[in-house]
Amino acid sequence: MKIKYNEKNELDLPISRKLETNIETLQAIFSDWGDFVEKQFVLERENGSLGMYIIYIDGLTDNEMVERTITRPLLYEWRDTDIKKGFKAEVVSEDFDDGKSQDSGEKKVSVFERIFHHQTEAVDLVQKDTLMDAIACVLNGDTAIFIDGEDKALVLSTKRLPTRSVDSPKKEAGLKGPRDSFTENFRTNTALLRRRIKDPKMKEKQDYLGQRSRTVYGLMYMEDLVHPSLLAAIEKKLESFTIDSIFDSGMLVHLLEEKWYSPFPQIQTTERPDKAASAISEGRVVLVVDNSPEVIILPTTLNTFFQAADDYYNRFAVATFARVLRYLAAYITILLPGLYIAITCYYPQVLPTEFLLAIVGARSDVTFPIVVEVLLMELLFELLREAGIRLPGQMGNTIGVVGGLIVGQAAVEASLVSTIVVIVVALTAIASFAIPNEEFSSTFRLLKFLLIILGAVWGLYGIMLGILVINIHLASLESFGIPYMMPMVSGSIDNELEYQDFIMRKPLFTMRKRPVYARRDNRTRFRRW
Amino acid sequence: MFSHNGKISEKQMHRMLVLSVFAGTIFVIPYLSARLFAASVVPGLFLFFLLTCIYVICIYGISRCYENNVHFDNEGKRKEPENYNETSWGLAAEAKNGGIAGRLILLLQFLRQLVRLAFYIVLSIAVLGEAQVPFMPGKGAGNLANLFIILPLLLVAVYGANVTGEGKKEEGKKGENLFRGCLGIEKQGRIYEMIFWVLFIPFFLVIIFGLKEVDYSVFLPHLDMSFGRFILCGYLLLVFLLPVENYLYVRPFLQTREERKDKKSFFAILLTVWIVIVLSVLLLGIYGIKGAGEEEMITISIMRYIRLPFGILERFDVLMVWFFMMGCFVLICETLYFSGYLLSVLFPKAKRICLLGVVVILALVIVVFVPEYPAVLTVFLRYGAVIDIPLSVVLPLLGLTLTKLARGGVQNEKEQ
Repeated sequence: MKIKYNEKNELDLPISRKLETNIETLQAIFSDWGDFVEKQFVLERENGSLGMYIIYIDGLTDNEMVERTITRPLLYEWRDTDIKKGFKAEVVSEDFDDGKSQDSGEKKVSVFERIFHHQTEAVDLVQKDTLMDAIACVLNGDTAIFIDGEDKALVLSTKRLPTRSVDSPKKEAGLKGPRDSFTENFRTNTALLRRRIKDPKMKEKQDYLGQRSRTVYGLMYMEDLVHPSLLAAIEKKLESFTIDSIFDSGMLVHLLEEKWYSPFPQIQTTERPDKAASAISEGRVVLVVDNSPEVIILPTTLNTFFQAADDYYNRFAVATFARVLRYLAAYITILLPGLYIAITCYYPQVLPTEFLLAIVGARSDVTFPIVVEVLLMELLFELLREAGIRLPGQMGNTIGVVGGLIVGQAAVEASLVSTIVVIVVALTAIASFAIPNEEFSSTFRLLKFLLIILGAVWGLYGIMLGILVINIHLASLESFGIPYMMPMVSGSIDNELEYQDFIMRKPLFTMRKRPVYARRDNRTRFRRW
Repeated sequence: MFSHNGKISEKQMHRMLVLSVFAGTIFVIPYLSARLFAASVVPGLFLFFLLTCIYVICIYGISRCYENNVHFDNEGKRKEPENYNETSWGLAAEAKNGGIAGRLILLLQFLRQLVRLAFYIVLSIAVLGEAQVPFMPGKGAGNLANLFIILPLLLVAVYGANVTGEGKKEEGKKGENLFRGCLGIEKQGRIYEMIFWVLFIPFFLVIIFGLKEVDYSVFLPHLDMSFGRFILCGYLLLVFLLPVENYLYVRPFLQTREERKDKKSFFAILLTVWIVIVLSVLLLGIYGIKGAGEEEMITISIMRYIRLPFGILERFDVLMVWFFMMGCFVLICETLYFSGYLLSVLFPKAKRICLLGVVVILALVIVVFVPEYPAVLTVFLRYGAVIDIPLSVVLPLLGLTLTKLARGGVQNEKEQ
């Protein structure tokens, strides 16, 4: 039997009332599937028999649950009942066989309804009307049951996907606050958010993306806080493309970003449920993607990348100090090597004489020009970093030690680089790690090279040009309608409210209003009684 | 949610105006005031401030006339503009008439912006000359190599004027083509918001660390020039306040239009001019009036004489030039932006980036013909005093008259 898929990679076949036809179709679809489990039953009852067909995917499904809630009740517990006997009509409201009373006070209902409502012992049991819907559920780990004479299928939620348990966050570690992080399991992730916000107004719109991967995603938001236009814009964007597969939220981020060529991430991701929950309670939208341990937060601004979750768990002075350090770190990361080159190459007169002599002394044996020296060390650092990520934990640490200490020391002794350059590069590296978001800090590390080249060519003038280009670019960036540089720009949209959580994180009791993401008519988040 | 609305906030408007006024005056006013007024520099600067107030009030008055005549209907009721052409002066005349007179006004406005752009390019080359930019042979634009040095800055300014003007088209809006040029104005506002404080940093340092170096005896008030010449010199300085007229372009794009916001904008401009005057007095106090009159880039050279405490840096004049270049960028980018805006209205089908390219090429051609900064300054002063300042008032008034006439014509047609 040849199966035809439409251009969306979907089947247009209905569920047939003839069980044999359905079996034939499904067997054709799942031919050469080693992990496909199928079972045809015949329910023997007092007054006849009924054919059933159960399918699921081994490894994705809790087969014990199938036994417990479907096969055992149907085959054993209800074996002495009359399969065709009616029952009190108020139990069901639709799909009567012929709508006529059989006995007084009883109405005959379909076999499907009888099994659906009475004879199975499961709560998460749904009806699917098309073959594609039923198959999609099966591919997600559910179990589909086809009944002879019925043109619909029962789908029982029996997912038991291979997943790891909730672990502590690896990339966004903090000293204070919860230690759990998202996993690859979609439902675990939504549960981690539900656990934090127990409000019926937190909605979760679910759908799937990817014609082949059929990756489930959920848009989570507070119904009364989110701007309807924001939600509509996100949904429109998600519907604006089709793709084969989505394997991680990172792929979706690239598809959602308005300016793909920008080095700056216009969409934030996090592995911390507390951060995501906080975003939802601010009126932002969280996009949970199956198979991804990071959720997407929309919209975002540059400022949010400097915010760490534990800023809100620490005292405000400590949090503010940390933020100042992070902003400073960002400037050091992007500017220090370029400035070092520009000043030492073109404007040494700016430096105090003693310092200048120290630089000259340190460079006396170095044969390379300063720019080559800096580029060499920076590239070495980037190589070490990349190698450290790819290697397993302990070996990664070893690479850090070997690279940082031994190679650095050897390079200085071999007069390849000067000690000052080692300090400059090390300081830049440390500063880049102080930026709380890894993706964001990568941007700064990348732009650092641009400024190194501009500084080497035109000195401070070149660096100024680079900064201007970055500034203009940042001014033009937006994330779903929110200026990327808020509150530094367009702060007056919101009466400068955003400054409450900018470089200075004000005390929580003074942050009475929700930020710009929330609807204007629902801004108050703190009040004293 | 908030962007692509073709609106700017009050703060953005302030910063656009203040930055261009500050950057346009700070490089020239200290030098020219010393040169023109000599010993009478303090009363001369007060006169300059007085003339500034008058000029600003003129522009404010024109803006009010437009508000009353363009944004209110014949019965005096406030009306939202039917299309965005109506929101900007001159453009209104052009759109209403669709005739040569309106277009001519726009063309003249564009030419004025072009001349100003050429001056700002020469000014930037002079500033870059002070900055000891690597591979820069001389200070003047006469040396073509210097034009290649300024080219990256021009390209960045084109990027700024283009990226901010690339706003999305809104379907169904009347006069879409004419409005196209200014759709991304909110992004332009954002740039100035971001670099606003950066530009002021060196001057705060001058005030903090240079105050003790000031010799106040040079300011003993006396007037040793004729009254006519005194007034003329004050009027000449006004040439550098012309970016104030950008207010007429920007104001229609304000998010909320309230009268008090006008006043705040003008107080911001006056405050900026006042700061420039105070800084000029400080600079002249440090450098001496005679010395300042002979040093074209006194604003930059003064930084050599200021020492930072704790011996952090031996000299910081070179670093400060970095900030001054931001000022040059502001001037070039803003002038380019409005030139592009006017050209977009005149040639609605042309690509904005192409129009900006044409503007830059034309400006560079002018620069090549009048290359040396002192010569350019003299020409620009004369041109400004005789042509530019009068036109900055006359052209908007002419546009207003044309709009009124056009409205009258439309009204008559309706009545008939």
